[in-house]
Amino acid sequence: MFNIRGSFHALPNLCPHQRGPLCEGGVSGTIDYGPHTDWKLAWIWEGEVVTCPWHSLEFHIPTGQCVAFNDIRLRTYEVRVAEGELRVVI
Amino acid sequence: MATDVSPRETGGGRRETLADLFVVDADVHVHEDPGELAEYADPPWDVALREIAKVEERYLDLPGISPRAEYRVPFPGGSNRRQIVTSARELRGGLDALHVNRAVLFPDHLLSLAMVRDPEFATTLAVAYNRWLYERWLTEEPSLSGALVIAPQNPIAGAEDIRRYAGRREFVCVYLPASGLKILYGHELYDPVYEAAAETGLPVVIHSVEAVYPAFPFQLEQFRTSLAVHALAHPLSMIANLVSMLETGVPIRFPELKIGFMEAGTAWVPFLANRLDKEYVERRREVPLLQETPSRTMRRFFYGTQPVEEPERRSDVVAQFELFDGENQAMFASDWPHHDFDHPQHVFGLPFAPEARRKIMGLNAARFFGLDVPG
Repeated sequence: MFNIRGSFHALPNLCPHQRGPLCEGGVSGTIDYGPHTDWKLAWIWEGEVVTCPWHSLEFHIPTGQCVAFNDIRLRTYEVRVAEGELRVVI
Repeated sequence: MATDVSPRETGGGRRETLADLFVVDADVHVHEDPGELAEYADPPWDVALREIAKVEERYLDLPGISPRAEYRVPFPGGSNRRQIVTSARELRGGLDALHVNRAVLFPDHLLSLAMVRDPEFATTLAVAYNRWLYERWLTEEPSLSGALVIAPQNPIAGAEDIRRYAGRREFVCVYLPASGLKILYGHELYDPVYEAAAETGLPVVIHSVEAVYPAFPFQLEQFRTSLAVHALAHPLSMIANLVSMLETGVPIRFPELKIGFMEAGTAWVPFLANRLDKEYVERRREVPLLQETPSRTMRRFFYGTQPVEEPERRSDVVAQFELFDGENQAMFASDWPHHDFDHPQHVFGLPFAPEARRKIMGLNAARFFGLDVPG
């Protein structure tokens, strides 16, 4: 479970690469580059990218999108705040 | 660390899991503490090692022993995993989680040994490391076997060290550091090492590490990324050394010597075998020492699987292995705990036939390193 500026997100703790514990990785931003960044290196998604500790595959936490492989997207779980608890909808 | 040992269906319907297999890991890495090595080093080098021990080190990057010229831009992020092991107990614990039964230990800092410019320091490091490994790792934990390191700067001393441990089953191979190596391993100046290894029944293993250095094939300074340097350094180093050994006929002059190649994956093997066979048609007269084609000679070498290729179509890996008799010559290697390690479950899960998988996951390594197979 991740808390990004007060907003809660949940991801499965299993990397599609070699099944590492991806949620135990560090959270940071990442680098982007392309016509959409005016062909300049850009630092994006600060605090929104989790990096799998096994082989550094990056995932965008709010969407589950694997940054390196377009066709891989983790399922995301809805998190509800109710009665002082965080509840993950499975 | 969670490990999922999913069963794989075998032909007869019985589900075999990773835990059922005898798994040999042909390549794991220990982390040398220079302060500990100092206790095993001849004076005055112990003083130097204690000095090195005062410096804060980075991943495989320690001034005085394994400096990296990393003119790279460091952004935050990346893996937060601990990528070194500093005790036999820690290593055995990590291997338990990976379901590995036996492992062969290689160094961290001494992967760069060929680049140490003082030959006497290099020799001292190798001799001290072998004693340190023997006393602090191999005799602590019987399932851990050692690669005996030789300094390429001093093959005579290397041969002496090989004979020093003759008959002691804790060492199961001789490690030939290839990163930044000035003179490739086919040169006759290494013959004393091959002679000693063949005499004592130890195979030799060539293993590189990512580096930029003015020695072929490490002149990679024009590449800007680790992606480029890492991708090229390892396989080109294996290719260069293998070709060098064929040129001077090392496997022919030392017919009992087993030769292995580590940490470059295996996709380069069929490429090189085919390329050399084509050359051989035209140029046999240049290599009269070879008694058979290069590809047939290469069939007797052994190859570590790591980093195992991950094509989009998984079955391509199985086809790739068939091209070099990987069923009999490939040895599972994890490279634990390094950044690019392969989890055994991943290699176990590739669509090999059950018998081929058993050989790749352990029996081939047992044959190469001379290990007893249980049961």
